[in-house]
Amino acid sequence: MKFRIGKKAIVIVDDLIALAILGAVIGAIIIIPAIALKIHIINLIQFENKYNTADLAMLALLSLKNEGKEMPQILADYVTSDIPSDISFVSTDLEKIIPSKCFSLTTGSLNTRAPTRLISIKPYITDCSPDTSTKTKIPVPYNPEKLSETLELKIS
Amino acid sequence: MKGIAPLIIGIIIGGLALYTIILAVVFGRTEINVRALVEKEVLSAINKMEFVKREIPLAVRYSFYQTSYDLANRGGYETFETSYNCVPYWQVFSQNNIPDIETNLKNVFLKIFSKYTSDLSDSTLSFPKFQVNFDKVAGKINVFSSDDIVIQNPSFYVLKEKASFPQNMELRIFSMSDVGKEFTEKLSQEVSSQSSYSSALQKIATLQDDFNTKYSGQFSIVAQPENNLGKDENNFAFRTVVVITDITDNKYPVFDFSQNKNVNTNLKLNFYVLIGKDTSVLPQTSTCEVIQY
Repeated sequence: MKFRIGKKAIVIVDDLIALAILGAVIGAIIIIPAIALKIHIINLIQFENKYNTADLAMLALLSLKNEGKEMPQILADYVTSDIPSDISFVSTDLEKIIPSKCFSLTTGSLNTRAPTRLISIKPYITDCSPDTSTKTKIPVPYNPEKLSETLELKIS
Repeated sequence: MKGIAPLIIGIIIGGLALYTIILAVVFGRTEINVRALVEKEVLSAINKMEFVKREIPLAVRYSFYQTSYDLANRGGYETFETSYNCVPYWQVFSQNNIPDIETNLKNVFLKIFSKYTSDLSDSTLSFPKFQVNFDKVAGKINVFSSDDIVIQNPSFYVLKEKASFPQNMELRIFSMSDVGKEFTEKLSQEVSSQSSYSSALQKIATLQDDFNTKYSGQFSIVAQPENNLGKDENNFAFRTVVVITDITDNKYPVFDFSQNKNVNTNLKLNFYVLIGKDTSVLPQTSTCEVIQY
């Protein structure tokens, strides 16, 4: 059985293909930049939001009180006392503030007066790499060598 | 193909050119990226200012604790001329040397507080020169400045915040000082008029009991008279060290310069009085170094 396709039929098929390509190109010209722009803006917003999350969580934490005592003072007392008191409520507070599967709050320095102390971590996963973090200083009782300790919050 | 092929090729080429221009416009607009960066920096600055507003009250508190502790240990003085072992004479016979606690507190407080603000400041955060007021009646301390706290990145932004940090605190050193003044006046009036050294000692013991009863649960007053330095039993003169201790639960976390370590302790106000009839006796003195904060 033999098919014979005439020149006219070939021209019509070519024209249809060309029209499809034309349509795809025009569509791509309109849609791709719009999608790309959207992705770009979402990335920028996520970048700002991610950067801000740790700061806001830290601010929320420092605004809390426990039995009439403000959180900065609770943390300062904790890091400077020889026998640290039980501040497990800080973990509970952080769990309410941070909607994350993993975070850690540490303080201290290489100074022997207040070596680095882990205040809170949830859960204890060693491969929990932080996506965002923030640091701030909290004043501690007067000491000529050290007047503040660094508080660091990491969120994954 | 002959009919529309050139048109299609033209449209594709034109379209690609337009596409390139659109992408270049969208992603080449650096202001979008710059704006994102500025927004991040501004958010960061606002957050930093909020951190400062939560940290400074604690610096105020610790500065006041340290000031109260050091001044109380040194009888309310930062520097003094007539003292022995860094304890000043509040009374030398008829001469009264009771310190102006409020002025001395302000001076020492601002020295210590400025150390805290220096420690908290960095290349973008700067604090103004502060002043302090104490409201003894209401139990308030207000640290303030006519200038602002400034967070700035010269190429992006300048963020300013009013520098005022009022706080409610028990200003125990003022009431201790008032008790000390009252006790000194009583000693000066009632002990010096006694006929003999032994009756003067009895009078001191009575006064001490009276004051301990009056300020029960608040302060303990201990007066320890020393040997008679006067010519004889009737022409007496002696030095008494007075220690007034805050016996409430107000323990202050402070640095003790004599022990060179941090302690958690009650306030103790120490001072001497030299009283009696033999006014030729001179107060025994020694030099005392000024605390370098």
